[in-house]
Amino acid sequence: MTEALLEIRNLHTYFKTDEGLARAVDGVDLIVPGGQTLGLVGESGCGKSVTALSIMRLIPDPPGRIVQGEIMLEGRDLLKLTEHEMRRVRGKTIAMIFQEPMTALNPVYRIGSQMAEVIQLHQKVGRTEAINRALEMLNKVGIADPERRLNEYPHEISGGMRQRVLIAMALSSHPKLVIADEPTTALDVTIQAQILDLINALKDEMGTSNLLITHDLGVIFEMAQWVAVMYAGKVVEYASAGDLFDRPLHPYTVGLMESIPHIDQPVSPDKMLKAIPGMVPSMFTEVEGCSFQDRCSYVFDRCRIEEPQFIAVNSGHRVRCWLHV
Amino acid sequence: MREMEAEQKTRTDTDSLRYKFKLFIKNRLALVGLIILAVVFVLVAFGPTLSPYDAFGTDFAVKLQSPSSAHPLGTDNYGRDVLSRIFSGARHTLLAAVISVVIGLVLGAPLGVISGYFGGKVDLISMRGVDILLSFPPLILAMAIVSGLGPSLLNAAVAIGISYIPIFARVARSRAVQVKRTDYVQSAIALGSSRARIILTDVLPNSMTPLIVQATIYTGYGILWVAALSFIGLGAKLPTPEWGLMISEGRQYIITGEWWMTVFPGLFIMLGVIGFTLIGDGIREVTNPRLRLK
Amino acid sequence: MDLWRYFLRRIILTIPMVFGALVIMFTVTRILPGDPVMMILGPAHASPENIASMRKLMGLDHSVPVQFILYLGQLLRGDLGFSYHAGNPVSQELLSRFPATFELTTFAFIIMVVFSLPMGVVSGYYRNKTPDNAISVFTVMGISMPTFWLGLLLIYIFFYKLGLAPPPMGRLSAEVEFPATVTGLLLVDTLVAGDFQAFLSALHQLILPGVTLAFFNMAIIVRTLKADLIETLEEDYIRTAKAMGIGIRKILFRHAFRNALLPTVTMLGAIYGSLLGGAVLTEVVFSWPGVGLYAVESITYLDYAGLQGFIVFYVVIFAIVNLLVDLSYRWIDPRVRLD
Repeated sequence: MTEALLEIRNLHTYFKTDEGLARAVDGVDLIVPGGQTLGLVGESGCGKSVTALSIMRLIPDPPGRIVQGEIMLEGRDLLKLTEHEMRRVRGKTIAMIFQEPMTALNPVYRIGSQMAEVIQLHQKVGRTEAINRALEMLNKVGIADPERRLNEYPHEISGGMRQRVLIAMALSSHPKLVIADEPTTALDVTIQAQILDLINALKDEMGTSNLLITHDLGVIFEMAQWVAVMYAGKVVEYASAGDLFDRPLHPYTVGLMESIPHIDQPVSPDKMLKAIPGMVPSMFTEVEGCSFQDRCSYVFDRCRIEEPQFIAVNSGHRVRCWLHV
Repeated sequence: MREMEAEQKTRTDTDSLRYKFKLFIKNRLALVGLIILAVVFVLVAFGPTLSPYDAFGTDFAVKLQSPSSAHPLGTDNYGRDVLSRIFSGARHTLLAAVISVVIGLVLGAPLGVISGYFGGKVDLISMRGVDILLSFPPLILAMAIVSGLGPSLLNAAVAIGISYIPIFARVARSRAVQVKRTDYVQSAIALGSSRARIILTDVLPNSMTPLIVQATIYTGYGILWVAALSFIGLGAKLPTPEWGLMISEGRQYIITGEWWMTVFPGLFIMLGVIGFTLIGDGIREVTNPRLRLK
Repeated sequence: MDLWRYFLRRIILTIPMVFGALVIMFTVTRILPGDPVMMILGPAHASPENIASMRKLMGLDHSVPVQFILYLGQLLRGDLGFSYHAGNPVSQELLSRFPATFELTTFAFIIMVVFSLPMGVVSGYYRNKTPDNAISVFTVMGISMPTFWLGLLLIYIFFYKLGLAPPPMGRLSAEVEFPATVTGLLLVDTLVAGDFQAFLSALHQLILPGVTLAFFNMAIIVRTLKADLIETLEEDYIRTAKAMGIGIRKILFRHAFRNALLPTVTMLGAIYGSLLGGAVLTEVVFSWPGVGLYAVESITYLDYAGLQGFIVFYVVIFAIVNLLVDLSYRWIDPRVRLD
């Protein structure tokens, strides 16, 4: 297995709200290997985005706080850095792309100006050179007529192009890790494929690792070499993509796979789509035992008493379930 | 299942008036505003009764006395007790402010709602009219109207009320436009409900909240404007103990050091405005879920 | 070109507005109850001949619509009538007094901008912490204080008690001579004439009324800017900037500030209107020889021509300022389309 670039151990991020303590991330362990893509998959509200923001230390405090855990990057625990040191990491060593390209750029400054600002910050070059590098990056992300785009304002270009610009900005300083939080969810389906291909190509070309966050198993299948499945704030299964799709171990993962309709399955009116019964437990309540117990078809006594540990079943495949202990 | 029921219960709770009131009280500033307003209300209702002296009773023997135990806020150039004048004068200033807001609301809000709902030519003409009113700097408009009507406290209130019309019209209009776009109004229209009915039962109630917030805040400003007009001689007439007029009367004495005739009425004006503003802010926080940051 | 067409359209739209304002004002001062003739003559001189000739002199012997048309004609010729209490044509009075008001208003505007913008940013960034709370005390007081009361209070504290401020007797202290009139603005004219002592005196006299006038609007700007800054800081592009590693100072003053300022700029026209109105009160308190004081005098002496002239004057200026502010939107917010 390749060197791990980023390793998260036992991450807990909580939010203090009027309605109580929200345990958004309640036990996340994962490894992003060097030069490969880790897909972080889970339904809305399971804590994927909060995990990403925790890595970047962009959790708004108040009301949120990373209460426990270690995030190891190149031998340093990011959670122990000062804010000043962390700022030097952001954008330079780790870069992040968000879900909504429409609102992610400052509307009152031109594209070139915003890109140059980031490049000058991390690469210690003058303005002219920064503009040149911005042009290079725009070319790399496949934007036609980049000189014109540099002088335009964000509202003058399309959503897909804005996402490309953001990718260009993120990659401009050659980061080691790129976190992409649902980068294509807000885009048209036709553009989605293009953007995903672009991310892949850049990863290969520049040797970056990707942490790709999505709720779409199909995207994981296409893009990820490794997968971490999240449920209710915890990582419940971690494996190589091949292992996960061939032999999903956690009942939740199994449920997810089964709920995807197959293209070669006959469709008859009396056959219903298979869904996982029940609902995700609220992040405000502390569950005794496994968080999946109310929805699990394989549940037994131990599940209701003790929370399962995150155990390796074989090399590289870990699961949080008493079934596999 | 139990969780879903619990969720629904909390949802209705958050909408109820009682919950909103409790949230309002939690906001300490709004609470302060409420207390201030309570005091003001007492003054308005019972001012003259609470005054230790007659607000109009001149007594040259005690004129221009600085605050003392006999006269806690001092006496003015006619020997009148300042405290009594302030207490008795509360009703004049406050009622004038309330009248101005009522006029602005009653004339401006329906105009705005109709304009926003019907759009088109009605909207264009109404908004042009409103723009014309807005082309006067506010105090100037009031000055013009009062000098035409003749100086009196009532006319000052009316003039300020007229200058408020555009403000309430604008607020009502933008709300009406928003509400009209909502699904339930659109379906009501599709179902053939009469326009009058839709306006009265759907548009108007939903426009209430921002109008109430504005009305509260502008009552506060109304106190300022009424006092300002009285100060330059376009409002209350002597010897009415209106707060702005009192400041004008005391003006020539402050340069020679007799400050109490001017300072105290101003303090009460300030208090009144603060009270209304804090309450208006409090209502706004309670009714705008977005502002309620966790 | 786009900009010129927009400019022209706005001017064309402004004219009916000003016209409407004139109609309203004319109606109010001529038609409504109160006989100006009687008030000017007084019961002693109210003989029928005097009344008749006074009526003729004031143009009141025509029907009202005709009066209005005559009035418009006068206006277009720049004739605002004759100011009875001043003994001069109204336009002359207004023009000679306007520099004083302009200087005061502009000085207040500068104070306003210089202090309120940083305070708004600080208040928004340090929300609910000590700097914000301190500033909030100031703003709450600012929006609830009557301008004229503040002026008197400042005079009492800084002139009577502390002796730091000059007596509120006008634009220059009594011993200093007025410089030759170049612009009518004393701060400029004194420097042009090389009279540094007069310059300092003019500045000294300006401070108290300037602060008084600026105070109310400063409070409003700080409050608005604070709310807008807080909202802007929640925007996605701020998150992007943070994720790219941009420091907090740059984020505040480069990224957030310009966006947060937009709604405040929208208010600039209204703010200026408020300054114009507030100037009336401030001039009265400080005996500042500007157009505001003139207006109040006209009211006191029932000089209707004077008051009307003043109102027309202000309406026009206000319209021009609003027009300029509108035009500046395009430059300030690139998203604004000219249509």
